[in-house]
Amino acid sequence: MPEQPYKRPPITEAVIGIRFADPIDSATLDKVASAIKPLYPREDILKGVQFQMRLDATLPTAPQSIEQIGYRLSSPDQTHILILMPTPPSLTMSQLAPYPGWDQFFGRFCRDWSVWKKSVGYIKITRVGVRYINRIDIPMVDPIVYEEEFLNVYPHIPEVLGPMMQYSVQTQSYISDIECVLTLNSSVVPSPLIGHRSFVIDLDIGKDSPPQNDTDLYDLINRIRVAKNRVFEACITNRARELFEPWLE
Amino acid sequence: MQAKITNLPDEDHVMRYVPWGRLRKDEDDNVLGFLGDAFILKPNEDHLSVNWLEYFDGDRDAKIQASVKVFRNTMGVGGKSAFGIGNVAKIKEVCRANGANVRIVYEPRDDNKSHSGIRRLPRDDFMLLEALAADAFAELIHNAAVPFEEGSG
Amino acid sequence: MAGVVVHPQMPTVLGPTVLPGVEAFGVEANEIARLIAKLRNEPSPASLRSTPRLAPNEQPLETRLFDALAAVKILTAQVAMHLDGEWRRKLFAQLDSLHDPEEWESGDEPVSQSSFATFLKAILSIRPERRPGLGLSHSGNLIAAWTTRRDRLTIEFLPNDRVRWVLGRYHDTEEEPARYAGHTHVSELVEGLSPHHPEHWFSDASKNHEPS
Repeated sequence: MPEQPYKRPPITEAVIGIRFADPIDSATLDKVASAIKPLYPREDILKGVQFQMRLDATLPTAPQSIEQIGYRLSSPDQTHILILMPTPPSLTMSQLAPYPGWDQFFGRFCRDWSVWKKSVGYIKITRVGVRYINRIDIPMVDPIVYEEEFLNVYPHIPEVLGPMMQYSVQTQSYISDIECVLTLNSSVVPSPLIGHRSFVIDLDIGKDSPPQNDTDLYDLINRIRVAKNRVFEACITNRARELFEPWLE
Repeated sequence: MQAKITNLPDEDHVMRYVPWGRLRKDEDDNVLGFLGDAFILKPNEDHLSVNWLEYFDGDRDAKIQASVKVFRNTMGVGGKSAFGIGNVAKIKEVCRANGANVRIVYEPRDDNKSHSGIRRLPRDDFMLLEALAADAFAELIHNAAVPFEEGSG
Repeated sequence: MAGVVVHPQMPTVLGPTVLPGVEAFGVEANEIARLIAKLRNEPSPASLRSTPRLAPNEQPLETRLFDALAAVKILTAQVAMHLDGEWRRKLFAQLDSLHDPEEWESGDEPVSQSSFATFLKAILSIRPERRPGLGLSHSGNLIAAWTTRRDRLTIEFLPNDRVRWVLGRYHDTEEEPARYAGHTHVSELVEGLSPHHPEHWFSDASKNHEPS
């Protein structure tokens, strides 16, 4: 029995993100990028511009621009992505579809985190988050797709308003057993498939002030993953599960 | 004095350079022929550039080699590219069958004395382009199959 | 609907939701907008791309080609759950081959995202057993070609979900093929091809051609 329940999981992107307390200087970023380059052959530089406006009206106004440099590292097929940013200081690891399963995905994170720690040393972690972006593609047999047949997350509006053409749901909840915050975004999105209607379920579970040692950090991430699965399964119906082709026991 | 416009004889042949991206291939990148887009006029073109094969001396192989040499000397020729050869009469017949009355005219250039142009070709006629690819330019010569002469680059 | 907040239907396992109360517009409306923005997840890493310092025609060729390839590979990832893994890998190999800098024709455009999006929609609709051979137009439109003996089917994928196609079939001992062409929205491609028995090209059993 494979570790994931579906032959065609609807995951379009899976992300593990670590945010740090202190800014990371460019020399340190360069060092990490260099150390991890064998694992991510493609390197793109991300630039942002920040303007500082003087608020004192007596002084001449002279907006200044500060260039912030981060790295976007990727595999040749673009399914493995690593983002290193100085501000907000963060390491973000992403996996695009096809999703290889948790063991491979988390294994890659452990590998990258190990390289990071060897290059950078310890920097206080302020937030750890796990995010899964799912897109459910529903074949349109009828002109109207009733979201409630496939999803348990949707807006409830009076029947007199008729079928919804578009919607967006955004919520935040507290998951007490892991002391994390769940941010859920769900909406209708343009479908990449002809004759389909598509919905996104975007789940982000994160914890501020997480454990600082690797053992407890990994344990937390694994528990977040369990919670994420529970949340996702609660958000969909059996009709949606059929679309993902569950493995038969 | 304006040069006399010379239509190429019907029995003669022209050669067209076709880059890798416009070769017709199978799912394993084996070359099968030409795509219609190999004969499309680019926005800044008013004629389709070809080499007049019979401009060159020698037997057929020598003419082909000489024409390829000119292409190599005057433009970037990719290693996996190819050349299409079509008979002038056949090209005109195929175009006529698709509603286009083309002229194939000798238009030498300083760096290519064999240069000729297929004129009055409609822009972007998908059926005609397919007919040119499938029927008119019947012969394909792989660039890799034509030996390099010494000093021909 | 102005001034009304709809409370979402949520599974109870997620626990109580916390939402702002709504009283009126003005200051409160701005606060709502701020809180909603706070809920919205940040752009995903896949959507973060570097901003080129140079205009496309000033960038080194290899950079332009790689960026175009990266963009369409990310597009493919969006539908990878619907594609066979081997099919996807070989597609990428064909795309890489098409964008080989050594074979690049000066003045050409690399594959456009819009054309490629049309291609993906078409392929997921047709679901051919055989992969096509690929080509690229001067303006960056992807071209798919299937060949069965002398019979040819060619589809060019245009921006904005448009396709144009041409096919030619030889019947019995005829010297000239019968040719048909179409130019439609991608959603009408299957219907447009169906009178011409496209399984002649799309099925694995039809794999029979002679490389030149």
